[in-house]
Amino acid sequence: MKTVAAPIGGWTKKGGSDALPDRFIHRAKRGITREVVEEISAIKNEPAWMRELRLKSYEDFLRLPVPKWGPDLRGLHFDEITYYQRTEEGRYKSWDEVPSDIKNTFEKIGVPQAERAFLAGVIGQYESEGFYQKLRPKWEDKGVIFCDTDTAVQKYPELVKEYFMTKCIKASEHKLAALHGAVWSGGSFLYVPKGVHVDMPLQTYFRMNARASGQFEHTLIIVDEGASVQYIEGCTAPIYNTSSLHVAVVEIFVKKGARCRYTTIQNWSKDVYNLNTKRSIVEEDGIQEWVGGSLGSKTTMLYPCSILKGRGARAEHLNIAVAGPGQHKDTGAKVIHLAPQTSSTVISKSISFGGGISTYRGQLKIVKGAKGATSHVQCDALMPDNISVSNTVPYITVDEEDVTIGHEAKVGRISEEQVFYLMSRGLTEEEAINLVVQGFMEPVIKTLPLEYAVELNRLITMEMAGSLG
Amino acid sequence: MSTLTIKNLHVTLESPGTTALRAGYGAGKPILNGINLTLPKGKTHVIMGPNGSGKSTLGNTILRHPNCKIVKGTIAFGKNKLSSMKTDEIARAGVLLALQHPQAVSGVSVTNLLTIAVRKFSEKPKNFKMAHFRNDIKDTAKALHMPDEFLSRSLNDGFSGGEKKKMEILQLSLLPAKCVIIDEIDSGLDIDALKLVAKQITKLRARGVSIIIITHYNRILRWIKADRVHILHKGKIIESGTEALAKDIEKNGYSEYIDA
Repeated sequence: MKTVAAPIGGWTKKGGSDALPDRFIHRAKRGITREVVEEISAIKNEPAWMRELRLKSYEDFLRLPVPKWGPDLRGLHFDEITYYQRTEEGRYKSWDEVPSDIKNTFEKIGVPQAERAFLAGVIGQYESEGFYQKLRPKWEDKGVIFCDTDTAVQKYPELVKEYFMTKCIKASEHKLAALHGAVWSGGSFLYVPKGVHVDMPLQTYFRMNARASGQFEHTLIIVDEGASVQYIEGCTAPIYNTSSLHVAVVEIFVKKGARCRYTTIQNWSKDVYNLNTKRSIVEEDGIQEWVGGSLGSKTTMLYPCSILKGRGARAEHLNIAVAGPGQHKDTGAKVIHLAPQTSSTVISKSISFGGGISTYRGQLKIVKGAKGATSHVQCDALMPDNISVSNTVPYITVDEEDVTIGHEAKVGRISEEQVFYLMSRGLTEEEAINLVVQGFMEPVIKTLPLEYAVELNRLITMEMAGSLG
Repeated sequence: MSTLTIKNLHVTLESPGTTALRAGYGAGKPILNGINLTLPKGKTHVIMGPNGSGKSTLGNTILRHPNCKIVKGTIAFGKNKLSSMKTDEIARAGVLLALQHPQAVSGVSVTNLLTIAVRKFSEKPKNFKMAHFRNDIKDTAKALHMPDEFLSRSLNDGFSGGEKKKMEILQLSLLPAKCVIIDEIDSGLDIDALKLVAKQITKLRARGVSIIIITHYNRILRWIKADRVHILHKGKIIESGTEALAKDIEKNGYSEYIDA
C-alpha cells in the first residue's frame, strides 16, 4: 500500500541535489537594513499600519541583544541571510497550474495526494510566499477563512490588524521576535467562526529551498467561541553548507469553549537555525493542544507557550525532539496559569544519539489566585549511546497555594537485555532498536494522523540508521 | 528430524549482563564446563539444579546472549549451527526462549511485537493467515485467562511476575516454534496459573515441538510429561534419568547427587 506521506520526508538527504536552480521574480539584497524592510513591504503592497509595524520591529531588532541563555548562536550572522525571495507572481488555486519544478518537489512528499485523501484545506509555501491554497467549499461556506497571511493582510485587514503581534507575541519581546516582525512573509491565517467544528485537518507545507536564506512565516489562528480545529504544519529544507535561518511566529487565540490542536513536524536540513516563538492565549474552558516533532536543523529553539487566561482553560503539550550528530535541540514548553481551575499537561520526549545535545527547557508559572490549578510535566529522554547529552532545565514559579503540580524526568538507555529480548523473537538488532525507539515515542505518535505517524517513524528510523549498534 | 545437539559446551559469563546472570560471578567466569545434551525432535527434557548451577546460562547460550561466551564446543539444531549464528537467526530457525526475566518494552504491546515478529519467519505456523493472527493472539490470551487489555498495554511494563510468565508462553505459542527453552516458568506462578501455562506447553508438545524446561522444582511435572530429566551442577550434567529422578530430588534434595 502506498503511504500518503507528510511534507517532511525524502529530500533532506545529502548534498542538496534536489535543490532547484534559483529563479526569483523578487529577491531582496543580502542582509537586513531599513531599506530591505521597506522593500518587502512595498513588494507586498501593504497598508501603512503593517509597514509601520515592520519598521518599528526593525528598530527593536537593532536595539535588542541576541539571547544568550540558550544554545550557542554565534554561528548565526544576520548580515549573511537573504530575507526575502519570491518565485511566483500569484497564488494557484489548482494544482495543475503550479509550475512543474515546484510541483515535482511537493509531489515527492505527497502534497496533492494528501489533500485528496484527508485534508480540509491546504496551503503550500515556497521560499517566502505561499504559492498554492485551497479550502474545501464546505468549510468556506461555513465562514472558515484559511489563506496565507499576506493574502489575509489584504483581504481581512481588520482581523489581522487586531491580532497580528499586538496581544499575543509582541515584536519588542526579544531580538528574534523583532526580526520576525520586520521581515515576516507568508504563513497561514486561519479563522474558525463561532461553533464551527472543522472535523478534517487543515494543513500547510513550508519549503525553504534557497541557500543562506531565511523563512519567516507568520501563522495566526483564531478559533472563535465553541469552535474547534486541527491545524498541521510541515517544514523542510534541502542541505547546503551555509547556515540558513527559520524564525517563525505562531499566534493562536482560543476563545471561550473552543479547541485548537496545532501539530507541526519539522525536518530542517542540518545547517538551519530554527528559532521559533509560538504562543496561544486560551480563554474560559478553551483547550489548546500542541503536538510537535522536531527533526533535523543545526540548532532549534522552540518552547510553545500556553497562557491559560480563562477559568477552566486547559493546555496539552506533546513534543518529540531528535538530536543527532552536531545537532542541538533546545525545546520545551511554557505554561502560564492565570485563572482558577486551569490545567496543563506537558509530555516531552527526546532522543539524543551520535553526540547530539537535547535540552528540555520548560517554564511553569501559576499566579496568585489561580486556585485549583493542576499541572503535570513529564520529560523522558532516550540515549542509546554514551557520547550524547540530555539536559532538563525546568523553571517553576508558583504563587498560589491551592494547586497540584508534578514534575518527572527520566533518562533511559536502550539496554542490551531489551535488544536481546526482542531479537530472541526473531527481530534483527536494528529492528529491535527501532522498535524500542518507536515505543518510546508512542505517546506522541498516537496523537498524529496515521500518515504523519508512519512518516515520522520512518524519518526517525532513517535519521538514526547507521548511528547505532 | 531436527535434533538439538550440544557437544562439550564450555561457556564463560562476561559482564555486563542481567543481575540474575551476573549474581555472584565476575567477568569471564566459567559457568558451563562441558555440557553434552541431545534433544530429539518432539521430546521434552527437564533440566534441574540448585541455584547457580548454570541452568539459565545454558538457555541464554543456546540463544546466543551476548554475555554468554562460548569458549569451546558446539550447539546445533538440525543442520543449523546455532553456536555461530546470531540471536535473531536462531529464533527464526524456530528455536525460541521463554526468558526467566522478560524485559519491559514501553510503548510496544505484545500484539505489536508479535505481528512484526511473525512476518520475519519464513516458515509460518500451520494454516497461518495474517488476517487471523490477531484473533489467534486473543484466543491464546483467553486460554491463559489474560484480559484483552494486556494485549494492547506496554509489554511487561508493570506486569506481575505471573503475568510476565504468561506473556512468554503466549508468544512462544504463537510464533512458529520448533524447539523451545522455557526458563523457570514456574517461579512466581500460583497453582492455577501454572496449570494454564502447563496446558499451553502440552499443546506445544502435541505439535511436535521439542522442549527444554529449566526449573528448580518438579511441581510442573504433575501436568507435563518429561521424557528425560537432567541434573546440572557446577556447569555439568551430573545425572540423567526419568521422571523418577525429579521425584527423588523433591524428596531428598540435591545433596546426595552433589556430594557424590
